Amino acid sequence: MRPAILLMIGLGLLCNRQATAQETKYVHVDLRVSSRGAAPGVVIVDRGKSDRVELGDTVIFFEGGTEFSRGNVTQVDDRSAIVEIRDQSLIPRVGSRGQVLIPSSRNPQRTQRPRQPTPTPIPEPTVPKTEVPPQELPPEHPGWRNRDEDYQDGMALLALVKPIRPEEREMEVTGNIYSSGSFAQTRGEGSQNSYFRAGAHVDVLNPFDLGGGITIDTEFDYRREVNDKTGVDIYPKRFSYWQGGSRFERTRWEFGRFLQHGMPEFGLVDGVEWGHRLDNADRIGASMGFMPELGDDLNSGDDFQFAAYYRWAADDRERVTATLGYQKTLHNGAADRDLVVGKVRILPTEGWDFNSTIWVDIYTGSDNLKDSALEVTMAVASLARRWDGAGLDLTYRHSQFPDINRNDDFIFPGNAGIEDYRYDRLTLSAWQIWGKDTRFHTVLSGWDDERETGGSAELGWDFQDLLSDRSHTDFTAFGDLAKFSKVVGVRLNHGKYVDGGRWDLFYEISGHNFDHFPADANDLIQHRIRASRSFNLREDWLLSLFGDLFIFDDDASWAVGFDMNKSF
Amino acid sequence: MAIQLNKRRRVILGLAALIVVACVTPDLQTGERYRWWAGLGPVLPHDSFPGDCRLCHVGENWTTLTENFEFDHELRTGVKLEGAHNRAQCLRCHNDRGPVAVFQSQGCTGCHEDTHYGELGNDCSSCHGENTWRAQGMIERHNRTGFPLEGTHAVTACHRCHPGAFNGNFLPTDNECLTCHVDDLNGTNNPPHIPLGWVDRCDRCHLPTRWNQGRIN
Repeated sequence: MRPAILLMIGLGLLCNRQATAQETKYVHVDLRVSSRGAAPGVVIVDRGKSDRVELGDTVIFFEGGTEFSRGNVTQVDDRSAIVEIRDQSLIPRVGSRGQVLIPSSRNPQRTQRPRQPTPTPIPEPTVPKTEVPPQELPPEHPGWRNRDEDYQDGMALLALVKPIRPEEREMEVTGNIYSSGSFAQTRGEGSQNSYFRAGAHVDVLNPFDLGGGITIDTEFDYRREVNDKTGVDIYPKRFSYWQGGSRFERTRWEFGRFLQHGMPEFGLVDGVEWGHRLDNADRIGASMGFMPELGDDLNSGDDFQFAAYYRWAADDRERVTATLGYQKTLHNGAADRDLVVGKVRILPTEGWDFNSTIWVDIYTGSDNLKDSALEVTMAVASLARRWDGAGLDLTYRHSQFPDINRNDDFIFPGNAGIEDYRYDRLTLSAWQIWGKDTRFHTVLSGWDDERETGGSAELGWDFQDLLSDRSHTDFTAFGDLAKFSKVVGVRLNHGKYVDGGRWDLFYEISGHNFDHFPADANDLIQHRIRASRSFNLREDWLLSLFGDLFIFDDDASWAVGFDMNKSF
Repeated sequence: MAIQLNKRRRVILGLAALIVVACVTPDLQTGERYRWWAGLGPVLPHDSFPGDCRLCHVGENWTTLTENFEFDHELRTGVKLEGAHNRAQCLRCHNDRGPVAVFQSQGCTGCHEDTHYGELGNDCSSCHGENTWRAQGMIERHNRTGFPLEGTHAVTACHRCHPGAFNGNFLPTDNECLTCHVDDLNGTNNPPHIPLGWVDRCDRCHLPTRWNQGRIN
């Protein structure tokens, strides 16, 4: 019996030694998920080579105090690592805590980081945790008094540190300046037109230590028209002061000349706007002031408007919203337009995006040209979906002229046109990537107006790096059933990125058959050639130059132009 | 609001504008990509940042970022930045308005003003690129409207038919000839169109390429 007992005791001790050896196999180093990786199924953690993390190390993630998922390190930087999650359906959230299992034999002389209390993990099979040597407790810190922090156990120290408020910041000036111009001429007619624009958009943040900002957008225009009419305008597009609308201040005010913040559909206004974000993420707002005419010089003073809106949001993420607004305008003091605008946005993270806006005019006895009491004068609706390597957009547009007195520099076709005009268009646009460098794209469009129906179709392929590196080549065939003609053609575009910019060459040939012209002269071949070059200049200036040449019948038109801008 | 000037003053004013732009430009600091001021404070919540502050901060204060500070936006967030977005200061998007994901999910108009008053829909990228706001490929897109730009129309500035184009106003414009060419009709005396009753259906005699090519059957 004694030898048997000794043998059992010996086996027991051996097993115990093996168990002890396994217990000391891993050191558990705490970590957090700092972000999702670019590829699906991977996350980035805030531990790296300096923490002795190496490729292949196992990482355990916790949610709600227990193990949630596991992964393995696939890439290591100095102080971060990319972890591929084993079960792709269990991707930990950003901020989740975890532990990386580092073999204790790896560079054991390095000092361990102090451990923070963490949820108890489900241990790696057969691997109990190593005991951590006792540490000195840090001196007790007086309680945090900052109300903004709302600190809870487990948060990083800077998680909710008090941000400096907008009104506490130094004044900042930012914006951009731009200039563009074009000169065009048709040889046979000798007609010319040209324009030059130079402008600046400037935002001055916190100019009065109140946390608001001044927005200035002004432009100088010079235009020489076909019939030699020449115009020069200098006018402010925007000049306003705004306050609030941040996460610290839910109420927003703006006054001056500005585009209405809550409902841009209501247009520019020389006046004041108020908006407020409610606790449930809904928004409410109102505005009042004169509406500049949306022509080329923004004359103001004839049209007064007041408007209000309410926007419902499903939740804080604002991915599902519905807005209803009403605008009343007076033209030279007399009642003019009653406009209702409705908007719906459904933007799920996966699936179909839906955007729609509808403009409904309410007509009363003073509106002579329209029979109905309500009329949808404009509508835009789109349905879009993106897949991996493919996309599809379906867009519907509708427009009619409203019966209003305001002179908005629309080119109105007279009363008959206002009564009759109607335009509807449905467009389907789709693209699909084939292989590594090829993309197929198509656009199908159908339109219907008060007199005729037509449509167009485009079918094309574009190729990356077909002729050289960093180049792009597109070949498209198209056909149109237009209002006055039928068109078929092809176009070829080739562009290439080069150091400091990009160049593009474009050629299009199209055959046009005109519907009502005498049969012996109703066909036209049109060639279009375009060359453009863009430059990334010093100090972040961007400059683009272009030249267009149209050759048609026995005549030709050409145009040259430039565009430059700089942000600061 | 517009200021009408004679020709001499226009030239002087145009030159003055160019001189002002040229003079001011060198003084406009190009926005440093990671520019950060002490006064800005930690605008971004740091709760998901790596625990090692030395990755970004250097020195005895929190206001100086490391000289070689780089942030791979695509790698760290899964969102690739291109064109002007890749050159923009972080604070242009990550600022006091709140979580950038809320605004990003709204598309371009989540951050950029819709200067077309909502009338052109929400797919800004069908006309605008990320390097510059200058619209691209408009002649090709015009084909889909039922009024392809043929001949002289193709080199005519947009604002000739869309007078509010400089202010983002493109709709609506009827595509009947007289909508834009009523002045041409009124000024035509050889032959005198209005006395002859030729006041519509211009396309029976004129190609849309140019007015000079009238034909009489």
